[in-house]
Amino acid sequence: MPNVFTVLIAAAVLLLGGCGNSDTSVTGGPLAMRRLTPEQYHNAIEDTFGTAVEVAGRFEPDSRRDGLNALGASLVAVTPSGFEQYEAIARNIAAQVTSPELRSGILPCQPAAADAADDACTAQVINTFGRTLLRRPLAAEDVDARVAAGAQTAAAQQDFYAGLQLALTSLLVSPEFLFRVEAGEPAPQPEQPHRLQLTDLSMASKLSYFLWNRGPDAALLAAAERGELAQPEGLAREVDRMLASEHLAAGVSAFFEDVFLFDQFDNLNKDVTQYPMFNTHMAADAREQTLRFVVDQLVVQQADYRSLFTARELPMTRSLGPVYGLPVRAAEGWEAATLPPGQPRAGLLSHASFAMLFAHPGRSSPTLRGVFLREALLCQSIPEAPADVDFTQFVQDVTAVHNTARDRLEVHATQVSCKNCHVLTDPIGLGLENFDGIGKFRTAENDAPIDVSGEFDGRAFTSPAELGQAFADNPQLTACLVQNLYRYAVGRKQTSGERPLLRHLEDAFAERGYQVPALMREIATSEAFRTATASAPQEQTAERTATSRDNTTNANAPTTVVASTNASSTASRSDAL
Amino acid sequence: MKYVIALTVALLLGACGDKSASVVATEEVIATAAQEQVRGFVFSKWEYDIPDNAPECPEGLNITDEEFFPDEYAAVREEVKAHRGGRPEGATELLPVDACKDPGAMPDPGFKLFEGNVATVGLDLDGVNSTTAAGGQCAHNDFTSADGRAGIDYQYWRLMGCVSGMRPGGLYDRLFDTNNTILENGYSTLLEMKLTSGTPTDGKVEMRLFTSAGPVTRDANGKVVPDMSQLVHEDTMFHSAISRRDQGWVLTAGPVDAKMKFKVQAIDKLLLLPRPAHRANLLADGSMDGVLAGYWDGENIFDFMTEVYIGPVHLGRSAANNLGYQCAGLYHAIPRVADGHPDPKTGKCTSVSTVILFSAVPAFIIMPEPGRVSLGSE
Repeated sequence: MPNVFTVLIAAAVLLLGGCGNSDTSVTGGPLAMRRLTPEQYHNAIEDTFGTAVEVAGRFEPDSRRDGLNALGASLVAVTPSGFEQYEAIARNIAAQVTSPELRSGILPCQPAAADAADDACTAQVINTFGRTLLRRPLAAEDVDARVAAGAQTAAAQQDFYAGLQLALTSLLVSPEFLFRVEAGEPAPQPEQPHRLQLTDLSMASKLSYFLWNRGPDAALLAAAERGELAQPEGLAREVDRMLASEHLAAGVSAFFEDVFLFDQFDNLNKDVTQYPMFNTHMAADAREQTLRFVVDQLVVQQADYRSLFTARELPMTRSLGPVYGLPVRAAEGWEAATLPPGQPRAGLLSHASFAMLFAHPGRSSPTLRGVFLREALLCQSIPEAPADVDFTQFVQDVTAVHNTARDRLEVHATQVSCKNCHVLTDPIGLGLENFDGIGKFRTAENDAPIDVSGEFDGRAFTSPAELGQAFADNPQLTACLVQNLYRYAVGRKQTSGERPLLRHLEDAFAERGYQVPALMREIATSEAFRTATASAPQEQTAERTATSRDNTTNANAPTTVVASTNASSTASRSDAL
Repeated sequence: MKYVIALTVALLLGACGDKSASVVATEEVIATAAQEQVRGFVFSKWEYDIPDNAPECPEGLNITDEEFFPDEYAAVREEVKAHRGGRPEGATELLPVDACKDPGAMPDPGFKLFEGNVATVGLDLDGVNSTTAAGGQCAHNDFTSADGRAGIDYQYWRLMGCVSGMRPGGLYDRLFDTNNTILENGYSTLLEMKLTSGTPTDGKVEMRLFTSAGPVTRDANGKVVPDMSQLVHEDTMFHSAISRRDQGWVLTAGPVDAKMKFKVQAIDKLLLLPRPAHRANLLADGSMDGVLAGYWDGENIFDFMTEVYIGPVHLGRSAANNLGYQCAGLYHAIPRVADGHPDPKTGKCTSVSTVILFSAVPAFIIMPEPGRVSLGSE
């Protein structure tokens, strides 16, 4: 017998369908459970305690799957050593929050006596910060256990703040903080017996991390608690509010940082004998330049996504000026610059970030650049090189016949074992050979002129700017963006059942002039985004609970299904606190 | 000195061409810069021309105050020794009057000048192959360059060629080898070349010198990064000479004199170079080797050499002792070698022809007022 939520969802589906806002026929894939990325962790600490508290320590590395760390985050657990790191970071944060220097500006209350337990104050602190950290209102048992532990320590050490530190540390190592756990409620439809509807609080977190790359703010949590996110109008209102927020820039930036593989900047090194002007400051600026450029184009100017590949405006710093051959007035910070028209440099493909990231330490790499462009921007798969490749054929050689990368890579076009893949990557990578291993423009290599002409999927080009235009005109570019953004939003690959939705999103993206915020809205308000398909019984981990964590919005729902986790060790360690 | 002069300033400006349009930020600035054909450079090295092959001074090198007044300095050393190495209050009062502070207070102790010829790389500033035998106002003997150019005016070498610190391998040579006057300095010298009329090969050229408002940027090898933006010092005192090309590769000065800020051994110096001349050689990598020559104001030479302060402490005499000369001798010798700017009343020359060698790399010169840049290179 259908419950009230099934009816509500059905109504919402009908409403959204009537507005043309989503594909009503598609239910989302399985629930996801994602570990916070380091940036999301930092954001959570900032949102909870303010900017004075520093996050000191190293996190376990992200795991990239199918091109995105956002997908890897759904598959990773926390290792014992990783948990020790989390715990050390948590203790350090708790120590800062309760330190004499900061506590008066952060804590919502003061203890009656500093040398004794104060359960009321501890409870107030846990309730206040726990709501932000766990992204939900706390139940009594969430608070009571931590208050009790804090009181015990405070009494033993005759120090209220020592007890509070322990209670705060417990919050900060909670699996519900370290992981974004999606929970769904059964909302079956006749043709979809395993259909789940995300709980309002899960929906709030999913929205905020998708659009802002940070946890829900007070207004979003309140809307979730009022049940508004289950209503199409309420959901649309909150999505529109979030899209208008200044936090959208960080959300868009986080997505493209993931797509562009910019986490690899953390390990980027160059041979300074080849590139003496390169330094880590320049690399950091190059990374930030591209992300600022993307945000300016897509969020501030609401530009067509394809314009990223042709735009000549870009933010500039003094350290990047020599790379681009541009004057920069500001000695510190960023200023707007424009690449002169008629020049071969234009758009994303000519950014220093891509040139330095997809290159070898001592030279450029048409192949690495080509692989990146095909895989990240066109969502095509390029197989790994065979294990028995003789790389000595490609090393830099200043003989007359191997002066340029094009000369050196001729073997790719002649050896059958290489040709099948490199015919896809090398021509477009060679089209960017005007940019050396750090992105500085050049017209010759080893005194031989560089030929950047080529063909990209049937379209000839003679300069990097023309290659950028060819990318902008390629329909696979926008289709890939849709796929990547949807995967990023839901934290997993699309299921076969979601393919119609992606086609719908591609159409909607085109109708909205390829505006990325509009596409984000389309995804966030889609049926698939707020529903899920329960996995087969033998695969799913279902908790049948009293639904206390979500009882304000779903008091009548008897069950809650949560995403499965590998983090049992984390949970047990956390509970031990 | 390894120094090559091969090409001309005309070649330098000819190299601007259409590339200028590829290196500016806005269309408005592009149009301005392309029209004016302005190119910018930042000094990546500068040094005095200290000829490697300078012959010995037949009468030996100049001596220092410490050598001239051995008893007085010995007394100070004893006083210091008695205070266990500390500097006792008033010990320096045991020394003779400090001519570095008050050069007129001491009679001329004599100063050995460099005689004879040595191959230098300077310029013929007065257009005359001067000799003392020929006489005339401020008569002097010119040098002949290594490439056979006669009439090279470089009286500063006559003045300092027998000072140990200025000799090949001496203190200055070693100091310039470190290049810390550029690399560890808070500013450098900027050079702007501008085609004002005609074509790059035969048109009129202007050159301006500026002191920058910030330091150069070094690469991993300690070299100056080319094409970096350099803001011009906002004090117009350091917006210097306008030189015009009259003929060939030599730019001679207009009515404005050069005032450049230099740092020598951590001491800021102001170098006054009236009506400077310049020649340059554009190298294949876009950088420039050049000669900046002119008549260095005599009083400024003395101040440049002796106004050495660390905080309130005047260390001109210590500097002179380290370099190998006496301030009083230098003071009285400067008029003897002066060959420029004769005083209209006395007819005596007041400035000394000198040569500064420099290397420069392309840079964007950013003027304090918005919208003005000089092009580097790509």
